[in-house]
Formats: sequence, C-alpha cells, structure tokens
Amino acid sequence: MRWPGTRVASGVLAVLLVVIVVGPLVAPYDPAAPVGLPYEPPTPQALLGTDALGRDLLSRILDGGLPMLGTALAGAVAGSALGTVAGLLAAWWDGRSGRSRWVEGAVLRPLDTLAIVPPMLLVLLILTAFTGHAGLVLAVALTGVPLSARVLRAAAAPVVTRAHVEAAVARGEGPAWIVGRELLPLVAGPLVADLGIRFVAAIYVVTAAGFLGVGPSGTDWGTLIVEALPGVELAPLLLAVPVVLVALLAVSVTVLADDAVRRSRAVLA
Amino acid sequence: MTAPGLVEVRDLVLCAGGRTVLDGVRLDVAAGEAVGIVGASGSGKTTTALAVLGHLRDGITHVAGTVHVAGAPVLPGRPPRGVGYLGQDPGASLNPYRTVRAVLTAAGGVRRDRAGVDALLGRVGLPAGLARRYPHQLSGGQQQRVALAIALARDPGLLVLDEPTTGLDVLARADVHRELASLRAAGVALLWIGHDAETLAANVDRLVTVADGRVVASGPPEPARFTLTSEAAPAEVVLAASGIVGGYGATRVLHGVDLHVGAGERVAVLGASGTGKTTLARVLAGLHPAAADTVTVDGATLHPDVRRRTRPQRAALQYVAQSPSEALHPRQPVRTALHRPLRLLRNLRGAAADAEAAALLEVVGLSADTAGLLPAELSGGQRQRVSLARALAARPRVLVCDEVTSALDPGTRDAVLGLLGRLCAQDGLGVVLVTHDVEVAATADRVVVLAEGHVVADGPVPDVLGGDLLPGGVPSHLVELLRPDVADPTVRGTVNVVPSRRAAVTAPTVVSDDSPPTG
Repeated sequence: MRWPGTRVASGVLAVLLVVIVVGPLVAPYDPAAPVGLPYEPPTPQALLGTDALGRDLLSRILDGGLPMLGTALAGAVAGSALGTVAGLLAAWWDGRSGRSRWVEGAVLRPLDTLAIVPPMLLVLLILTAFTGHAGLVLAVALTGVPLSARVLRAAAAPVVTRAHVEAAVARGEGPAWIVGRELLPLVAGPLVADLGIRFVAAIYVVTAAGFLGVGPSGTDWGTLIVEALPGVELAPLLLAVPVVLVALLAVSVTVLADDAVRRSRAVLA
Repeated sequence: MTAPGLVEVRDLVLCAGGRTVLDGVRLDVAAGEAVGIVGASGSGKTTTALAVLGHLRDGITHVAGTVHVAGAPVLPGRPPRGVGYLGQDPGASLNPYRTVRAVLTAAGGVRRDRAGVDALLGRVGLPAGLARRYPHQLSGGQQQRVALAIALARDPGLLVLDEPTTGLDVLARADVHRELASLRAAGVALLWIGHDAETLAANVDRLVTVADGRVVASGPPEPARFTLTSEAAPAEVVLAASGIVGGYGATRVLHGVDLHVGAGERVAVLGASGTGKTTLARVLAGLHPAAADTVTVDGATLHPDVRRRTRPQRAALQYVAQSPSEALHPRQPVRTALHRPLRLLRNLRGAAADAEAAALLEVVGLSADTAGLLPAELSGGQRQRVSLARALAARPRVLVCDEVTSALDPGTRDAVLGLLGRLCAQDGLGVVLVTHDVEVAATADRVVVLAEGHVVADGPVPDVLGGDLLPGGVPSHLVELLRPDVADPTVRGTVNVVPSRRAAVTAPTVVSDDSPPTG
C-alpha cells in the first residue's frame, strides 16, 4: 500500500459495496411506488428527491445496485475465468512445444473474431436470443473473454518456460500442481488486475444495457440514467447520483486492479 | 626394415658455411613405415627431411653420403618420384588467387576431372563443396588438409611431413592427425618431423632422435601420456547420448551430437553462445523435443519427452537450470522445493522428507534453517545450491548442469564447482557441465567442444584445453576452436564466402623457433 490512492479506493469500494448489498433491505420506500410529486427537490422525506413519476430516487438507487453489480460481477468472473483457461492453454501448449502455435490459432483466433464485434452489438444480439438475466451475463462474459485470454496468455508465456515449472514437469507433477501451484501464483497479479478491468467493462455494459432498455432490472443504474435524461434541467440529481456512483465504482476497482499488477511485478522481479 | 628400404640415407654429411649441419646421418624408412624425427631446434631434422626430397636449402652443400629413395639416388638435385611433401605453413603452398578446385585439378602435374578432385578432397576428409572456396575462406586445418591433398595428388608411397600441425589449433590439429593416421593405415610411409615426442608417439612406428646433426636414438616411441590417462580409466558409462539432432522449428541447432559420461566423471560441454549447448542439455533432460536422439542412462533408453519417462528414469537424470532466480518458485519456500522431488521420486513424506531435506541442505553447504526461507531471501549462490539440492534429492545418476555458474561471482562459482567435484568423487555421480567458460570447463575431467551443433573436440582437459590455462585467459587455439566457421561447411546452407580471420591474402610465413632455417 505504497500509494495512498489504493487506500482511498479500498474505502470507497467498501462503502459502495455495503450500500449496494444492503441497499434493497434498507430502502425507505417501494422503488416502484410514487411517494410525492414528480421532480421534487431533496426533502427530509425523499433525501435525493423524486423522479418523473414521483418515485423516491434513494430507494431506486438502493434497489437497483445489487442486480447491476451481480450481473456485472457474474459476467466479469465468467469472462475472466474462460479467458484464463484459454490464455493458459495457449501459453502452455505453444510456449512449451516450441513448434507451431496451433493452440493460439485454434483457441485465440476465434476469440479475436468475437473481440471485433462491438460489445453493445454483441449484447443486443445475445439478448435477442436469450432474454433475461442469463442472457445479459452471457453477453457480458463474452465481451470479456477475448481480452482476458490475450492478457493471460501474455502473462503466462514467460512463466511456463521458467526453470521451476520445467523442474515440476520433469519430476512428474500433475496438472493440478502445475496450474495451481506453479503457474497461477505467478499470474495471479495480472489475473486480478484483468478481472478488475473486466468488471469495470462489465458495469459499463450492464449500465449501457439498462440505458437501452434491456437492463437486469427496472431500477438498475443504467436505467436510472436514461430515465433522468428528459428532466435533467428540473432535477440534475436524478442524473448525477447514478452517474457518480457508476464512476466511483469503476474508478475504485481500476485503482485496486492497478495495484494488483504492481505487486505481482514485485514478486517476479 | 628387412624389406628393401624405401628410404636409405647413408652417412650423409651436409655443411653450411663451414659448419657441419648433418654429420653422418643414417636413416631408413621401410615401405609403409611411419618414422618420426624429433630433435631440438637446429638439430638438423628439417635438413634431413629436405635431403630425402633431394632438396638442399640455399647455402647448404653436400659433402658426403648418399640418399636413395625407392632404390634411386636423389642427391644431389634429383627429386625422387612418388614422394609427397607437407610443410608447416599451408598458406605458403596454396595460391590465394586460385580456388581449391583449380589447385587440385592441376596438382601433381596431371589434370583430373571433377570426380578426381572430389576424391582427393575425400581422402583428406574434406567435403566436395569446399572445392569452390579460395584458401582464405578455409580454416587453418582445412588449408592444411588441402595442402595434404596436393601432396597426395601424385599418389606418393612416402609423405615427408615437416611439423604439419605446428600453428594449427587443437581442432585442426586433430583433423590433420586423423587424416594422416588414415593414410598411414592405407600403407603410405611417413617421415614425420616434429619437435614434440608426445605428439608423434601415437602416430609413428619408430622415433628417431636427432641432435647436433647426428642420430642419437632410434626405437619405438614411448606411449603418449595424455592419451593413456584418458583411456586407462574406462569408467562405467552412466549416460550415453548419440545422434542428437534438434532445433527450433526449421532451424537445426544440433547436427548429430554424441556424448557419453562415465560414473564419477565430469564432462564439460564447452562452446560459444549459439552453438546449441543449452539445447543439448535440454534434449538430454527431455525438456526439448529433438528431431532424433538416443539417450540412455545405465543402459536404459529414455523417452525423448521427460513426461513419458518412468519415475526411476526421471530420477536418474536430473537437470539443473542456468538461472538461479528462475529455477526456484518465488512463492515457495526451500522446503517445498526439496519436498516435492522427495515425495514424487522417492516416496518420502513428512518427517522422513524433513530429515532428508536437512541432509541435502548440508550436502550443498547450507544450514537446515534455510528450509523455511523463500528464494528472495537467499543469495544467488545459495539459490544455486538449493537448485542443486533439489536435483540431488532425486538421487540421480547423472546431473546435467546448464551454465550453473554463469550467474555467480568467482568465489561462489568455485565453491559450487568444488561441490560438484566432491559429489562426483564421493557418489560416483556423472556430471554434464554445460559452459561457455574455459575456466569452468578446466575443472572437468573431460571436455567436449561444441561448435555450430557439432562436437568438434572431445578429450581429456589437458589435451583439449592445452593445459596452459591462465586465470581469466583463454588459450589462443581455443578461440579458433570455438570460432563458428571452423565447423563443417557441408551442414550449412551457404558454402561460399565465410568471413574468416585468416582472410589475409598471403599468409605471412611464420618462422617458429622450433624449426628455424639451419645455419
């Protein structure tokens, strides 16, 4: 924790996570029910004011965080995990065989094809086929896999040829030890950093999906942003609060991911 | 010598400016016999040899005595037929403006066709592709062998050799010696002048010692000392590798390398960078796929892929990698590094493994506390010792060490090398010591020199390294030896212009103190 930014980011992220996780439980009102006049400024009853239909913004924020976070996290973790498997496979087979890089051709090239499709187009295409939560998670995962695979392959390539990995192979260690004890500890830094970046990207995708009306719930932060747009002159908080929250979430995770990379370099150097 | 002598020198007296150079020399060479003449500088050995060719140097006069070659008198000034001559300096006998083919086509006063030239090159062990080259595109040994081919062009029954390998590096010397030995086996008589009885001993039937123009001794040579020590101890071979061909993709790095290591023997594999040393070590260890190889340990053939080797086979051959910082997992303590091979290869776990790990650490000169440390908490030398201990944990028969000392300071390097020497002596461990460092190679028992993926020399340390190692210094011949363009040109795609340090168009005639002109 050499850099104070890491500490700040950890604090911000912790607060955000608490708010998001316990939010639905402590929301003062039903997020779907009108509690006052449209576009009311903040009052003691509605701390952040009300939206176009007179619903309490605070309740809607608290209610919508968890579905968004859950979808983004599930998608990011799934994408990162698939990407890790693909990247490690490519690094292992192509790095050790010394011959043609056929695994890269067989595994990473198709993923590259996936990467050139704009993420939103991918999301809309997948949601057309699989509606609902699962479709969104799948879409988020698929936007992340190609990039994760590339990052992990690059991170693992110098590790698979390290002498201690070869020594493990030579003494007959099984795949579990080689992956779990020899490789993963040394690519954990890049892996965590990549997961952070994938998570931020996933939040963007989920928010954007909400913006486009295909979000994970009626109150996710993307949906709140698009709903705030028509009345932004009357109630700027309606737009500002979800935007700032999304930004805080993204920035704090990015800062922590950067730190994970820094620390992993210190191990290998 | 019961048969009529091929060469009969009787009471030959030669003078130069009033001084007697040869004082009643009597010399016989039978057909097919190899006779060596040794003597100090100025003893008259070269003059004798030239006299056999019917040649007297300027200023030398024939006073008395006769020289007959094949029954015909040759002195004075009647060159004998059927005698070839090979002098010291091949540069002097090769025309720098003519290719090898042009020289050989006309050599010996007979025109010969392409096949004839190729056959002549074949007789001296040179590939036909060399014929296109000019002398400066050849290494010293190749030049000398071309000169030998010229001498052979007349199909001589006798070859007079005047220190044919002086000024050649160890490799070239070995090449020339080999070709001369095969000529001797083919029945060509040799009159071989040298200054070094040891060198001649292995190559002649009889050794004649000349001093002050007289023959002072004649008899069968004493066996050479170096060759005896190396071959007198035929240790049980623990590692035998033959025909290793390997590379990266389409690039061949190793072209059929053979290597054997006896029990308790340290074999250094010496080579410049890029000569395939590390690839060789990795092929032996089964970590690099070879195009062709046969590796046996204790007679059992090992699979080229270490993962397909049986557990005892994996244990029998252990590999120690170059970089101590990469050889150990940065997140695993020394204990883990030692316990894993003990568990996997020797089925030791728990307290037994702890005890064995402590013993191993003691063997490599580390305290038992080291077991709890991470590699980052160890010095480079300590890491290399842990790396060695990890390899020793398998109780190997052969240890393949790839530049294990290159990352270490001199003091630590000597300590690690001393440790390897002790392990060899005590446990009969065979060690392959891959190195680019002559000083490291000098600590081994035998040196195998690798250049461009070929074994270009293989012999006991004193033979290959010359024995005159200065601290930090490299014997000059070794520079030649390790120079890539010494290697066989047939294996490289391009035969034509190979830059060589011997590129001087006319090589200056170096007069060595061993054989100054008499007088």
